[in-house]
Amino acid sequence: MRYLLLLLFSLALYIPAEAQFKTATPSHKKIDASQIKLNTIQKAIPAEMDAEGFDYFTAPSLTAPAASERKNGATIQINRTKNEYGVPQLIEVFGNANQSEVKAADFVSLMQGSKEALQQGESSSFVIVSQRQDKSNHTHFKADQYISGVRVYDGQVTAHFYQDGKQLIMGRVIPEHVFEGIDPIAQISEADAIAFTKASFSSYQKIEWFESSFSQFSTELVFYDHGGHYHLAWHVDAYENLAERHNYFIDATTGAVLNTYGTICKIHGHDHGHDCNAHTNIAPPDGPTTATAEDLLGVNRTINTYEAGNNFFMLDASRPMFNASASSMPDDPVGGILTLDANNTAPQNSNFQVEHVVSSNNNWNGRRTAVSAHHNAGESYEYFRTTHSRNSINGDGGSLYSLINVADENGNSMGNAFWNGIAMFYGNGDSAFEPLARALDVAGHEISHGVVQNTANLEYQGESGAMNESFADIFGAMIDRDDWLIGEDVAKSSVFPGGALRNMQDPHNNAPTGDYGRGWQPKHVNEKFTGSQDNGGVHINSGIPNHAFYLFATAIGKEKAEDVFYQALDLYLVKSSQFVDLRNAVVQAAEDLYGQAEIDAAKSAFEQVGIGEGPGGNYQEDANINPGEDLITFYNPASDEMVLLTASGNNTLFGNPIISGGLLSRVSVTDDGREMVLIGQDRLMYYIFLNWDTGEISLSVLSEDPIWRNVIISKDGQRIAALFDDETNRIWVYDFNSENQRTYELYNPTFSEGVSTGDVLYADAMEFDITGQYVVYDAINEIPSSSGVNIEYWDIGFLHCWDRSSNTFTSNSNQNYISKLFSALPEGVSAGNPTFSKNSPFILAFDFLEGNSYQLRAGNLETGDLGLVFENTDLSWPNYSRGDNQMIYNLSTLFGDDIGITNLSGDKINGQANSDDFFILNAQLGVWFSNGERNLYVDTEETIDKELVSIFPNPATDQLSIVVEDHDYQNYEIFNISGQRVLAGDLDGDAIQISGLQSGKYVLRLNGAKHWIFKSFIKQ
Amino acid sequence: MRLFSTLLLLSLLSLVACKSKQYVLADYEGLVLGFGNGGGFTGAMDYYKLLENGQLFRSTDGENYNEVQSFDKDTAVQMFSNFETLGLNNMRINDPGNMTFFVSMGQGDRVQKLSWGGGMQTPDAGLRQYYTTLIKLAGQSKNPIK
Repeated sequence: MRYLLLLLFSLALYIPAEAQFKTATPSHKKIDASQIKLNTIQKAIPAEMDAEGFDYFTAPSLTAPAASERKNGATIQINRTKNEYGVPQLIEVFGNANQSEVKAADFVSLMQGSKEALQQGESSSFVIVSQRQDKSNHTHFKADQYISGVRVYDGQVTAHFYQDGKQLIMGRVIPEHVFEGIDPIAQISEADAIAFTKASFSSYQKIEWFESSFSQFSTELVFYDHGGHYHLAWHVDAYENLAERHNYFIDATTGAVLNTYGTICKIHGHDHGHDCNAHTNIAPPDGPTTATAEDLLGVNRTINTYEAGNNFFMLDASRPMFNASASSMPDDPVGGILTLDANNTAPQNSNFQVEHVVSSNNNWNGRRTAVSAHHNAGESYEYFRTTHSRNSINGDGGSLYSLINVADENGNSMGNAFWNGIAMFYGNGDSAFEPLARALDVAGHEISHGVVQNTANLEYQGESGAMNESFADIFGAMIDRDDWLIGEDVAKSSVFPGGALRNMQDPHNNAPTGDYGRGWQPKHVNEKFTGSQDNGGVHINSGIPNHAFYLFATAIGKEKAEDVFYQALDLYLVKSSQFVDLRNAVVQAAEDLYGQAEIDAAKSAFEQVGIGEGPGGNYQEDANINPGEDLITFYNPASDEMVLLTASGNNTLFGNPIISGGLLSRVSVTDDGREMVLIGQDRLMYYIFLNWDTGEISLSVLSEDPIWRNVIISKDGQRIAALFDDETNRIWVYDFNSENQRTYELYNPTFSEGVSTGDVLYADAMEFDITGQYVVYDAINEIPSSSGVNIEYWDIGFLHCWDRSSNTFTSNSNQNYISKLFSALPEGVSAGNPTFSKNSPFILAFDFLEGNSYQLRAGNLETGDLGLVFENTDLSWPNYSRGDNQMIYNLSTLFGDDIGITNLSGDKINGQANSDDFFILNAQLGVWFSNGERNLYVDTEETIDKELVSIFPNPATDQLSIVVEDHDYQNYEIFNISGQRVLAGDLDGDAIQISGLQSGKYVLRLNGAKHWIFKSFIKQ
Repeated sequence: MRLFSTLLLLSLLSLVACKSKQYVLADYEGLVLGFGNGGGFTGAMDYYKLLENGQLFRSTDGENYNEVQSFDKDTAVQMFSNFETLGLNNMRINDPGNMTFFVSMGQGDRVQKLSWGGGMQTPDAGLRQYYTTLIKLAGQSKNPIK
């Protein structure tokens, strides 16, 4: 039944988004790309180029601007301190000094004043969850976000009032506009939601529970984010039976099950808990007592036990949190520390059983595992109580449970320990680990997971997951504070050469580089693991914040450092926080609790591990500006011609017009301005060669098949990419050098995460990046909607089609060749017509459309900043000037279709105020280019090549000698000034015979397996 | 004796003829059923990949896989079939925990992954049974094939 429901309702998972960007037309015949042959052409010499490339796949995606910013067109700065909706994650306000008497009304006032920045309107409110005052008399609030009286499930903020008058808001707030169009009134009743849930159970049993407050089905109406879209949903927290508990999110409009996940079976829970293994409860008092016994380290420990009836239990009822009157002993202590025995069963298996660790005489010798677990749990509890004034894991005196002798699913000894949300589970070790209960830092680590869960509740994926792991390590190391090692008492040196599982002082841990299985971790962001394994490297990348803590604690002392990190966790971080948020939180906490020296130490620690204050490092260098003339080619719609002129207005070049009869595509030009490709209205592919030395122009048909819709050429002229007129989701790429071709099917890469952004219908605008490895394109996508009318929208992607290191096409068999410019476009928004900056490969401009609002925007992929260049009335088809200091674009007015121009600010992504002007009248689709030569191809590795390769003599007559160090160049090619290959061969020795060449200028290309290099020479 | 030898040879040949095509994982382009678990204090993970012909591969880092003892082909086919029969292809679960368990189905990089945390309960009875069956079968196959 459940699966039927899932199937029935799965059609309604996505929210419609209108697309008005371009109009899809019906598909024509499908073209067999493998049969395409291009005509031979006089190809130009690839220019000698060297500017850095950019990896569009590892760069952060841009975040679409928030609605209010889109509407007023204000210049905005989006950086990593804003969430994916563009809402700031940290707002600083300066209020009245001496805020010691802060009340809830002050919180309300602060939030009211920040509504615009948080993109909240009349429907939003924030409901205080907690209010606390810290040691320095600062006041801290935690509050949930509500829209129209409905809680936003993942919307939560913290607000902080300081003595000096400063006020902070931190956390995750969802803009109110996101909820526009979502009816806050449930169409599905609460009773129906429970019925849906109940219907999906396979082993439902009605539970009769003694606590009057217990409810088998708890419900709450929430706004729930599913696949990037919010739904009004019933959150049903349901006990299927005594052993199984589930969370359901049921669409309150359609009844679709949006998500479901399990929580745990509470061993002996109190609040809303239930007993998994019933025991006979014995009312107090029998009483707490103590015993002394040897633990797994061979140390005699004094432990707190409990006498009940004629037995003694491994139950600590002696701590301040113990609530005797509320307890039912020994099975249901409130504020107790209880150690239980899983008897070598696994919690995943149906035979899982737990029982008390019992002694008839309070003699625990020979029960070393239980003694260790029990002692270590008590030590960990005391650490949080005495150091951080925290009353147990949940902060409210909740009991601690340790389970020993836990097996894996196959009944084998488990070499691991874990926290499952309510209890610690210890295995008895394997070939890599001693019994895990042996080590104090293991217990500290696992209990700290519980503290994290009850404070920031950091999501266990990616950077937030790595922070979750790191906080567990940090407090584990502070509880077991004699060194900076994690797990040194359980990790076997035969597996871990560093003698510990992890090392906060040196996360590399004396293990082979990158060997995570032997204890190696990154210690700097530049070593960060980026794969999907380990939930995005949560146990791997924890080395980075671990090391930051070590550096911080070394600078100011462990006592201050642990205070600051605990305050950061408790007050400032939220579920989705990232590394940069951790830095912000720690710096703020250092300011709260101490002074400038501690603030500086915090900043320094994070700087040293590569977590910067701003958007982060790895900025790319700009290329040198092309030294040639400023040239513009465009289409004149009045005369139906393609024209070429200089920026100063000279239109006598090459006997204008270049082409008469119209274009189907925008012209694409190489970086040296010598080669152009375009599609004519006859759907043929054309190639133009411009000889700037002679003023001669040649036009040839590159493909005589009338099957094309768009074509672009790489900056170096080595390859072209083209689209067929059948409007299928394919980009065809051809490499002139190898004469090979490959077709790439476009897709939306979010599919693998189970979140669909729809199917790609076809691409339209394209442009090669500066290295010729990537094509940026726009494409129309189609999303099925619950209304039955498919929704279309445009967005921008990067196709990785060429690999410079291997000098080959990238694979098109595995779908890992596409990345997207935007992480997610808001509903009703489209982006298209992308164009790269001429000299900064990490900057590009594009059209951004919402309803009738046409904005020319630009973004910086390194910083994540998004700027506004010009508010247009139609699509802009932007293009950067040679020096990136201006931008041209289509400008349609009452007077006609012209090209406009705007001066850019230094960041290349924002237009200068009042600098908009007409540029060329009766003109569209302008392309600004130049005819100089510059290097486009040198990254660090090839710079070295250049230094290591020399040729002599130059000029040469008969022989060209080559000096090559280190690199393994296998063959060579020599091109004449017209681009024709005139000589080629294997590089057998250190000389090439050139006596057969005519006098003139040539280019030598040396080819290696992963490198190639050009050198110019003159033959006398 | 000669007749016995001939029969033996014929039976061996028939065994060879019935044997499924064996793949190198890196070259395999068909559907792959993935599953595994791990995390906890150590972060250690077990990753498995099952092919439709029953070949099973195991990894501890999610990248370098070694072939281990295969599933019976009929069992493998049944597990692939059950993924849809149980409706797992319609589920969307991405809720890892300190201990994480997962089942995935996909081809190349197009993979649907169901992951959950907790350590005691899986989110769905069918998924729980499915995962447990896989892990039990794999537990008998940890040693690399000879």
